[in-house]
Amino acid sequence: MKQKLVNFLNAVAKLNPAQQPTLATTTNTPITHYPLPITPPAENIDRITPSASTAMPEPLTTNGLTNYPPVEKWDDWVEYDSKAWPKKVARHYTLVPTVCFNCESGCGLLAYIDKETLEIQKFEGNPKHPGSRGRNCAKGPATKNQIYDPERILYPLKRVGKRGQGQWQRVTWEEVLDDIAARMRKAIQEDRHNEIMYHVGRPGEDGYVNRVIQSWGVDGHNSHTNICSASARAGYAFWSGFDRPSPDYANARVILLVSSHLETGHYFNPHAQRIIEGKSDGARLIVLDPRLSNTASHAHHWLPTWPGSEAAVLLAIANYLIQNGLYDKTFVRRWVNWADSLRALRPEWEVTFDNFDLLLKELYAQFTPEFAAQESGVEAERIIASAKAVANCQGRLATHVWRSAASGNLGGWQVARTLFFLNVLTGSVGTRGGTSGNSWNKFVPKPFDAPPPQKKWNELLLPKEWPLAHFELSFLLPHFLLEERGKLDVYFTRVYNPLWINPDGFMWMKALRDENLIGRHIALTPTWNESAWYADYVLPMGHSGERHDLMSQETHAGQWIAFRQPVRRVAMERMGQKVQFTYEANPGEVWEEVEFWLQLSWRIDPDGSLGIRSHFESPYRPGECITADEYFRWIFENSVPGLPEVAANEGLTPLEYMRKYGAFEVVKENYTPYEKPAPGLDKVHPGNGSLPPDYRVDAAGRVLKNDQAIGVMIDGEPRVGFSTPSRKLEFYQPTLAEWGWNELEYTVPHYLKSHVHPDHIDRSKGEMLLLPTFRLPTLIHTRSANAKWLYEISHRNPVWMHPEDARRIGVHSNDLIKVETEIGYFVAKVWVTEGIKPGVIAMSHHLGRWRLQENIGLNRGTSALVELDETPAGEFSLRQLHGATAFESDDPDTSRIWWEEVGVHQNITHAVHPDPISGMHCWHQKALQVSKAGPQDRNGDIRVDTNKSMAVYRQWLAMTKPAPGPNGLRRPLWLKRPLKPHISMFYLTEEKTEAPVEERARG
Amino acid sequence: MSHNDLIPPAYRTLARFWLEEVSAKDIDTLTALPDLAQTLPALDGPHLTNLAVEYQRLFGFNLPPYESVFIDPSAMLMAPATDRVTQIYRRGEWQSPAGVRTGAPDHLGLELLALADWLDREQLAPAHQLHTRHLALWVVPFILTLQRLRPQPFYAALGELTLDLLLTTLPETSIPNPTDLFPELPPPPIYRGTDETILADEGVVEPERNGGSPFRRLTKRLLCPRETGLYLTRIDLAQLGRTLDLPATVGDRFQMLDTLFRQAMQYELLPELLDHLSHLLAEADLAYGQVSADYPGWQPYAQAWSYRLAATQHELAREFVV
Repeated sequence: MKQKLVNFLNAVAKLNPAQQPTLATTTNTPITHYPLPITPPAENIDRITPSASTAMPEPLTTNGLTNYPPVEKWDDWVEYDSKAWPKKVARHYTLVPTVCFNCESGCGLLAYIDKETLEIQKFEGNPKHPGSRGRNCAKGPATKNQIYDPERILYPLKRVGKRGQGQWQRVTWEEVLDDIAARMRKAIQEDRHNEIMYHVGRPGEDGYVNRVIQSWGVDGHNSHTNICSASARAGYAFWSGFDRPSPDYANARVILLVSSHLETGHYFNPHAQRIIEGKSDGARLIVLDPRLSNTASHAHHWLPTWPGSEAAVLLAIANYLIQNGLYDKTFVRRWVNWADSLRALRPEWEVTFDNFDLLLKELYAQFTPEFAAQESGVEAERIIASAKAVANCQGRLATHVWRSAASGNLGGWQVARTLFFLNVLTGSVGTRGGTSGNSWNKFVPKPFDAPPPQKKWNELLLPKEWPLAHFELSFLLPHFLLEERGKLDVYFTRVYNPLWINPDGFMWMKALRDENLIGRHIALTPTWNESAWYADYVLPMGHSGERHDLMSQETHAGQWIAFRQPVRRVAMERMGQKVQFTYEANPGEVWEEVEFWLQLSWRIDPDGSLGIRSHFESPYRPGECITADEYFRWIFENSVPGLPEVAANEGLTPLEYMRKYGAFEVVKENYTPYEKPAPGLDKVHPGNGSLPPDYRVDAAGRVLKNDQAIGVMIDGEPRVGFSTPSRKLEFYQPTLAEWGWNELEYTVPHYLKSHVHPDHIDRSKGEMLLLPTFRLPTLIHTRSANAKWLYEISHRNPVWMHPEDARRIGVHSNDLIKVETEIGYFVAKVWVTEGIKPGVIAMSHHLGRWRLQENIGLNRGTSALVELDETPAGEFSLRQLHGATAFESDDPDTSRIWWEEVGVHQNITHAVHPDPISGMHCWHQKALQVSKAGPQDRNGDIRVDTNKSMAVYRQWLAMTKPAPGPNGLRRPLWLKRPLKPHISMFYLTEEKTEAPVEERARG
Repeated sequence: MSHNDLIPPAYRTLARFWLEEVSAKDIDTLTALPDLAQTLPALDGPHLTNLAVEYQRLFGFNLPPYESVFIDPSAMLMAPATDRVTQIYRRGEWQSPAGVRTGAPDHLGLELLALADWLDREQLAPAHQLHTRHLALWVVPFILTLQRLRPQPFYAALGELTLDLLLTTLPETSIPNPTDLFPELPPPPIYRGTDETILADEGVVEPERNGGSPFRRLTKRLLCPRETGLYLTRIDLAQLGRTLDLPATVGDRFQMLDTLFRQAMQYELLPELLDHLSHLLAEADLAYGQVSADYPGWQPYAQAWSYRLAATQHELAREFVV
């Protein structure tokens, strides 16, 4: 032993308690004294207790080096000006938290605003945000690039000349508000409520605009959900009533993803963090993906399934658990509607759980690993290995499916249903490390006023053919309009670009430019987009950092809210400046929707005669229009448990607290809420006495209060249960049976053959499967198209193709190929890779933006100039004249655009595929022919025959089973709608103001 | 206090300084540890900030203090080699202190903490396994690499103390055979850039006569310590470029070394580059020899690492007849 070591050992031995080494990032606990591990109880698992916390630890303090500026310095943070280097020029910033507006994750941002110039120097992560915990993807910091985009729309614009001609006149907000309000007032007065429609992309806020629309009394909320998540949502809703999963990845023992959550997907940044935490704590990661995504590359078990075969694989895993008795029988007996299932499916059998076990064995025996292997093209051994991993999850199985398989396939909702079946079988529902319902982990506070449900039903949103659709048939709007099912007088597209993002975009072009179908199209958008080109008003709305919104997302097992703020406005107010409207603080006259809708609604009903005005009167200043400050102040003071107290501890009002920190953790953990006592019955012991008055238990075991189901009896105890009609998890789904889908394939978790099943793709004829559903981590659909920084990272979307297929058609990487769809074709470059299955080609979202004029429309660095051609017979074509170009502007970066390619707009060549149950557009396309491009073909060429568009639409329409359903209903009462109309609107046969008791219990 | 009682607190103290930058909270501790304290001109804010910058330079940018980087065929974080360490923690019922922020569980500091706890609790089986099959295997090349980076005296001393303590207390009865030292681990996943056929299809590289690009294959091998026998840092690669007067290279290690090869080819300096690489390998071999002379118990490990260095020398000679 060397002398130095001897000295060291002796010195360490003499350290007194105060001298024991400590870690700066822990709670000052000497590292000799941290608690030793506790041996997990026998029923628990043998893994390390997870260390994931929902709050970011305090910054590392090492004499000046910190991860984040400490909060106490946010009002005056000093940094050297990097551009002044080598001089040390100190700049003073005020730091204002806000929330990213690019994807739907709602991650926290911190804006650094120069106190001298009010310039936003940068956006970094907000360490106080419980979801993102100070970490962001590229899209967050790129907000600065979007705000200072030299080509952005700075003022309200009004169309001059014909729609789509590209001539615009600058107008004032006053003119805009007066014109639109008058038109809406007239429509409402003339009982043309259904001619008012608001069509939103991803909302990026929770409930604000919904309240506004409901106050107008219209059934006018249209969303993008049916091109996004409706099928997955439907699958979850049929099980449980909630329509999205919220996996507790960080504490999971097994993570099963039918998605690519490590790089994309809902809510990829906060989720990816927690998946890695779970994995680093020993969780096994199983990924089903036909593509070698970044997520698949991190998996312990990658199952490259043929698209559409996922349910077969998931059921093979379920079958393994069932046949081997490895499922959680206690959980299933308590929480699944097994008795009803048995009565429905085997009425002749005695109703015992053992018989239900027999039924499961019988129903799923066909789903052997070999069957799944045949359907999916994945070796049976890999499927068995995954099944063994799931069987070993011990109630900690975290699962997710988003877009991908559920949104790609006919019957894709069964992918979500079969996936959640694994959670049910393993008892991993709402448990630590399991999968919760989104509503358990998302907190949406109530505002000061709730308008009554509208007494209207808009058939353009939910027509009779799709009574079970999960949200509106939004992507079929042009088809409905062109079929003359209705028309629109005032149509708002809000941060939404239907022409570009939806399938069959030329049908949108036809509808948007026809003033007889759409009287006024008002595009509220932060950036130019292809649809706004066909608007009457283009109204510039703020990016993150330029607007107020309140957001929450189910990022983990807790609940939080985050406050998006117009950061320059907040900075100005901190410095004592008075700001009335946010557009006074934003660049040009860029506004925010919160104030826009208040002012518009106030003008629709200036005298209160329409019953609208009262919903916008300030709770603090009676008779006057509420302000944005007052709206959020009321919520923070009255609707967020714990916030007033926490704020008071710091000597702040709740609003001041939220302005300072930008986020609040409402609940740290929320596990198994369905096990809670039914409301009002927490002190009742039904076994010893009767229920209080107004309560009763019906024959199905549901606890009813005033004939509304509020819980369910479980082992003699009144529990909250789930929000299904039975208050249990519905294995057998009676609603589907009652509405005409009574075959076994629909009523229980089962395998439905997709429209792109190998039986329907004849590869010998050159047919292939086009998988168009994957995202890129650095872009986000239509919203990021004015971020040069992001486009510099990714600006191509080549077609992925397996080398076998490439050899067959004789192409190499970067060659052009022509992909023929049901309605047309596109030409794009190919990328030859073993990362995709043979027979499948794949192409990413987001890219292929275009503009029709050189100097106006989309940004020059991110879009192609195209030539649009159209024949009288309804055929359309686009040809790229040139791609991205550099240009001189105030931003020196725009002269440094070095790329030309901007990708290819594939969606416009896709036919619509509305699933007859969920209403979801089934994204996967059958490529009728994939071939090497000819000498006349150019990258980005598009051709579509809209006659074929209508033909394919009608083929899918023919698969539906229209309303009415039981009791003359047009839609089951219990299924969700973003804005549920009055109950009387649910009946087709005769007007009913009150539902029968049974229906009310179910609704 | 017996000799054995001194060991766990010493490991904990060393672990503390590997895990995080030295902070103001440590001044009292350091004051009581004169051999470490005297490596700093003063125990005040500016000098601690300077040391924190050094910590980031060394362990943030150049030398990841994680076992998997040295032991796994992927040379990456969160690799199967990491899972191996996690398994030992689990079996030994050990968990890291709450709130410690490392990139992976096989951080040097965490492994030392686990060892200290097990020694305290007299759980000798996991302690010996971690010591002989993990720490003794990878920490020596790690610390020798650290020395090559010319660290500030504090980290040089920390490395020296850690190496001395680990090898002085090596439980010799538990040392495996040299051939059993490196665990069987799955091969790295297929990353873009490793399949020459695909790259050739893409027109990224010209297929060589043997069907692939020798640069890429060799580069990959040279950057994997398990394969090559030492860890080439970005500083090493930049230094190689400077020595040969080649244009500066930037990027990750793969990009830097790949660029170095291409530039060396372009400027007809490939023999010189190979010569310098060979010299680095020879220096590493000498260093292993010296450690094994100082600590005879480490001889099997030295053999295992030297075997890899020799194989790499052979590979260099085989690929390019210099």
